[in-house]
Amino acid sequence: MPQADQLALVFLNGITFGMLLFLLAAGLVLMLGVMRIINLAHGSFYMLAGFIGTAVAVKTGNFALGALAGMGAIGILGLGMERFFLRRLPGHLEQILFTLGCVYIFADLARGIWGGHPQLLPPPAILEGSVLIGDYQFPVYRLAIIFFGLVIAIGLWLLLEKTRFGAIIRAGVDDKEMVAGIGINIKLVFTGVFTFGALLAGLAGVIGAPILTVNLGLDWTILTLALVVMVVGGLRTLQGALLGSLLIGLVDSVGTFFFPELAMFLIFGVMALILAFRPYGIVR
Amino acid sequence: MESVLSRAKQIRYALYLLAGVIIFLVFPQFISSYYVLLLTEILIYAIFALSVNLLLGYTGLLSLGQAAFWGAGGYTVALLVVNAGVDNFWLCIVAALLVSAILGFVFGFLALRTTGVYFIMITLALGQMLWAIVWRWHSLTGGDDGLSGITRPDLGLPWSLWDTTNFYYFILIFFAIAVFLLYRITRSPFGRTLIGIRENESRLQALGYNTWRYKYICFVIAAIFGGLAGALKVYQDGFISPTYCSLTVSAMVLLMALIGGTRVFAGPIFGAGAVWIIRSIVSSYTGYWNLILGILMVIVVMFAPRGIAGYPAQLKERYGILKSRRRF
Amino acid sequence: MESLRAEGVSKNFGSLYAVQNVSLSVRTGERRAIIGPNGAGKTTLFNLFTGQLKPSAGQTYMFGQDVTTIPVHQRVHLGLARTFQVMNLIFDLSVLDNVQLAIQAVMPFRFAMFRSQNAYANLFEEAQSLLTQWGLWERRKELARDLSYGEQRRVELAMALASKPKILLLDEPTSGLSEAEAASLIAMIRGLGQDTTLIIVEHDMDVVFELADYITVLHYGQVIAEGTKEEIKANPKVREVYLGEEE
Repeated sequence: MPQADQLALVFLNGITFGMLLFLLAAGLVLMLGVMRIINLAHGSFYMLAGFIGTAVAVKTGNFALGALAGMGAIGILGLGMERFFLRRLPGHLEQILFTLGCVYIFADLARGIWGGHPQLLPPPAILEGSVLIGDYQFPVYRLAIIFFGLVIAIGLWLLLEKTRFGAIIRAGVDDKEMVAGIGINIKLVFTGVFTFGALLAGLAGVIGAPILTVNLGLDWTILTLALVVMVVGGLRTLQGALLGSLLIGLVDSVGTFFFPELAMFLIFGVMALILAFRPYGIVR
Repeated sequence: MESVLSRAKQIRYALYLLAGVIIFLVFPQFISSYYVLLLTEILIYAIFALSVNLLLGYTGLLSLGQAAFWGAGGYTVALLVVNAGVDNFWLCIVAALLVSAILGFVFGFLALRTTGVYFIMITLALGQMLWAIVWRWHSLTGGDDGLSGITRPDLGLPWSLWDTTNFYYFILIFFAIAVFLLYRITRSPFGRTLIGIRENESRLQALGYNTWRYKYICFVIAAIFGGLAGALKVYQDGFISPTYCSLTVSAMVLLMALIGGTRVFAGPIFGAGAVWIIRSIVSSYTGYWNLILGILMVIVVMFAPRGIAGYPAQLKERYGILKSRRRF
Repeated sequence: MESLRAEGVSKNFGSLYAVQNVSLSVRTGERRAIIGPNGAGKTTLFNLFTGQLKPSAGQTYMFGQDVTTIPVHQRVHLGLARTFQVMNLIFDLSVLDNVQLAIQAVMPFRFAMFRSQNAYANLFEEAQSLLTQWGLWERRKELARDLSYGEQRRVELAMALASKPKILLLDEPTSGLSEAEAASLIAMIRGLGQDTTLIIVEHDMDVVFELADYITVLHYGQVIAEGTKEEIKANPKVREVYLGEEE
């Protein structure tokens, strides 16, 4: 019979991981909604940001600088991808295949630069240490991620609901032609959305580094999880992304703690269940 | 009933056939066994690529999880041979086809409840799911270590299939049958309807076609041929590991179809040849095969969307436009 | 004998009511025109008849059978066919391919996988007859997108007729056509069999008065009048809403 402190630990770990997944899924949902493409390189963004951010943070001794570097680098990468390639491709299919090609390019670049060595990024000094929950230690850093994730979620909501940029995005999701028709530079919107999504992924990649070891192959595993989140939570809304992320985070946490061999099955089992009954996700 | 093919086309196709016969039948007698092995692998991948193209090129469905069927076929054979000690080659192959078909029924049903981008995502997720299952189910599949000891089939023939060239001709037979069947499918009413679905699905529905059923059947057919290819690959390799089910394989076979040309039936065959040869060359110089694969993908998508086989058509289109412009 | 019927059919998109409580019934062999100003809900009504849209309320019937929940493709097999207001051909296939696909849709061999499509002689012969009838035989090898607008409209019609429908829905078939082209199209439509029910959405009142026995007038998604040409011409409500605008 699981004890209260175990449950609390599992719960908090799940929320932590869920928040990371949310940062990824949010970007994917926005890209999907506005541009109608799945960015298969999203996992690569996360991984590269982890590598870059870790390298910079370790070299400068400054976590925040590492985070900015990781985020910034990926932002520029995303910007470049959209501006010079995605924009020029005729259809969604081609765009998706392009992002797939990028995954391979990035994977080998990462391998060339950082080799097969997993990167470990220690959390920033102010966030070191842990709190005691029953018999267990829970890292302060993870609490920080939960808090930070909530801030971002609220921030995104505000951005979408209360700002002009957000209104444009929402309109773009609903009716691209209309948006272009009322004179808004839809190309700029696309570039903006893609870059924004990339920045979120980059951010997630760095702040996730202390929790999830950065290594080669992370691009696929995190992309798969992000896609499972979207399939489960719903492909169209940020609320769905949040719901899905937290759900998958919790399932993963429960699985890893109580049924370590089956954790992955649990996640995919949830996904298969959702697929069977709600193919477009829990939140329609 | 007017003649479908003009004389010029008939001559051209006869020449292709002759070239094919020379390359596939005669050539292997004169080259070293390393190249015969390469050719064997190309044929197997060609079957896989053709199956993927039935979905992509003909029906317009991009499935990122086709490796699931390649792996399902492979693991069925491997499990039967290694774990259950089944000697009978035909039993193993039929089992592989059956398992792939069943998986195709299940995955197809789940994935085809959606369309467009969502469909793509779900195929990806399903493919990854199978990979995860295969990877984690140590007791059954051997997990990361995989299974080895899959012996070449013993068909009671005087020629041993352990010989590279003999095995090549063995695979060639399957290749020929697969090509024949798939070609017939693409020329049939079913196949022509698939093309219509790719072009304008809603119009086809308005004409009276149950487009979902067509897509579903196509999906299962692709699964079966993918499973066949995977089963043959396992006999070729002698071992199997979870990488058979990985996204890398799904992506590579897509690349083969793309590079070869998705709008021409034989395109994926060329593509399989091109990609596999490039891979062999590149990997003997550097470990950065993925980088080349990625760059190739980007180049093809950006500059030659019709692939190698489709390039003449692409050029003709461009040239045709230029020609007509000159009139004015 | 009733061929097509709508009973209390409504369709709303959120708070926008495209069709409100529409009831109408069309007899077999009738030539019915549905008219109304832009946005009156004519195409939406068509889409409800063909099954492209599900009504928010009400039922639709074909030959007395409730087809409200029956999918689009099945209605074709019950005898329904339509053309589209915005040209909806398979543009990158040839005219012949377009028409053959249309004919094949109701053929028993449409799932056949092992014989070449060319082996089905009756498919080709029917396509030839249909294309010749609509004056498209010479252009059969051209891509649909390379045809003139008028020719494309004829392909649309040929495709709709390919399934030998009992009920034919034409959505603004003369839109964008020149006077001559429209006249020739009308003559062809006139030539359709007497057991084919024809329902046509049109803006051009000349076409309506030439072809229709009976007219239904829609306005803001509701039926405001129904009757023969004379009755409609004389109806003050209709004049005010629709015909008035023509002058």
